[in-house]
Amino acid sequence: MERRIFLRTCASCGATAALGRTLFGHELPERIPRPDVKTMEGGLWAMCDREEEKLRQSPLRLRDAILPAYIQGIACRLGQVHCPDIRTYVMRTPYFNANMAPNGMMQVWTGLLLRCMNEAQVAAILGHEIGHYALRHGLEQLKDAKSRSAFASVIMVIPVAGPLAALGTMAGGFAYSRDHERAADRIGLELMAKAGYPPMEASHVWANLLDELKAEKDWSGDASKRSVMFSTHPQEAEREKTLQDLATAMGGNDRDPGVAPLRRAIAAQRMEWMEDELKRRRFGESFALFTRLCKTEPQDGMACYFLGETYRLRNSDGDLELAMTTYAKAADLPGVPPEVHRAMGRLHRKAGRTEEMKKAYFRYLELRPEAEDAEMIRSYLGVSQ
Amino acid sequence: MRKSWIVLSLLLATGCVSPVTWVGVPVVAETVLPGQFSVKGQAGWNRLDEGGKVDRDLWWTVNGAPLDLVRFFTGLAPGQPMIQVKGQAAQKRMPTFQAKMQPEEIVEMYEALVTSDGNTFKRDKLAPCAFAGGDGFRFEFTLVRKSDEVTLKGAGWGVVRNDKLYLMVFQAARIHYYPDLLPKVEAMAASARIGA
Ligand SMILES: [Zn+2]
Repeated sequence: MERRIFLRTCASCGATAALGRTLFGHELPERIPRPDVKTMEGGLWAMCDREEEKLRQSPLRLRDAILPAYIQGIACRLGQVHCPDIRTYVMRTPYFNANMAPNGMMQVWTGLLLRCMNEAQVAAILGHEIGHYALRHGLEQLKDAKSRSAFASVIMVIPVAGPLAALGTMAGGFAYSRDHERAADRIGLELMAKAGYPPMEASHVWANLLDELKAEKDWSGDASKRSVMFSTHPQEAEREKTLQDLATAMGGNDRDPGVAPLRRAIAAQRMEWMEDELKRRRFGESFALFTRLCKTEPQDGMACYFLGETYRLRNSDGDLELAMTTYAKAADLPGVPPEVHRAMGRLHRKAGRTEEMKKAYFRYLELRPEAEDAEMIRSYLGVSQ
Repeated sequence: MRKSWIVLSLLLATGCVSPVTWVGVPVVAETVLPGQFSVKGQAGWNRLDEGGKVDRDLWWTVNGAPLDLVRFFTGLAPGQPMIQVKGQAAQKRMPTFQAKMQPEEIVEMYEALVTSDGNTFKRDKLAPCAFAGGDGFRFEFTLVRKSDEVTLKGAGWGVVRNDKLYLMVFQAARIHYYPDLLPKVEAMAASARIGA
């Protein structure tokens, strides 16, 4: 709570001097006016506007009263004068991605929000994307002949496919140059610092993501960069290090990264997103993610339950035993969903432990009497309607 | 107006898939599918024959697979996936049938099959149900297809007999197609039989 007030106050009074020195000294460019439709930039905007309309209609767009406003608020504090031009959309899709189009439309995917450990990490990504936007990197890319042909093929693809499907294609044609990436990284850090966040969190975002991809490679042998983010943001070995060095030089890393505000904002949807995460069946990535969440917050019953689910679904040698231990631990933690009892009941039933099965399933039905699978569970218990 | 727009966009969305042969399903007392599984065929249904498709996953449709589809998985043995996939990572991620699977795990396996390309799946109901002469189960679900963001509704019936899985799943566009065809598919499910 204090944290939120603190941030708002800072953003509104623009007390940047008090929040650590700026390293690179440049201010954000002025607001970008709507370009003439006859220009190349105007054409680009028209295409983006069309995409934005689809995004607005999409059944995957989050429309609740809390989260979209929360994300827009972060973008606004970071974007400063650009705030009125930035429109954020939170899309329910379990991959790590955010992007910002030249017309001010910004997409943030729920797989990214689930992975951020605090508000500062969300700000790191949003700040980077706002950097691309404010420096008009999209337009510069378009001026590049090679991108232009990619752009033409993108236009051919978009009318048929949904906006999320199109995004991957669009991203492929719109990979930014290394120089653009570096510039966006620097601006992102600076915007974070000005908004009162510890800049060091930016390097943690990449470290965590690389950790997950490595775990996936170890499990499935898939070495491809499955994250859409990586198709537009090539992972450079030194990137994490560079971000770290810059953040160290900037200082202000002892500031509160804002764990509680992010957790509050995503609380209502967090379980759904964790389910979405497991449905990808990237159990290497999921294992790294849930392990990280459990280690960081040992009292997080929900993350602990989903770590158990990851074991069950991964189902390698000994995983079912590990699942059982993890469920049992999760069951005593705050925030654990009632489904943990169903999960334990299932494993007991398969192992022929009838009494334990009954206890667990009855507990589940007690907590979720209206569950859509209640009839099925009652049949396992030998209880008729 | 709305319906025809949906049809058009669906046809466009799937316009570039490999050619498929439509074969009318015979309207006889029993249409025997592989695995000694049989159902009563109905007028209007077509079998989609695609080259190279494994015979354990059969597709029936009235208006085309993107609009309405019944899939049969007949006699899946322990250790087998619902469909064959290529590549080490894809195989690792594709679940396989196990004789001890509970109904919810079988639904989960189907879910994995239809969400591997980013579709969202929500199970709406799971309950015991007699199917093909055995104590099986019935489930309902909602599916949002990522490629065109069309919402589909579905219903499935399954039973495990002699350690083999027999599963029949219907899914169709929520608007018009699902409610229109569901009674017919229910009748088809009621006619299912295993054995020569
Ligand atoms: Zn970038």
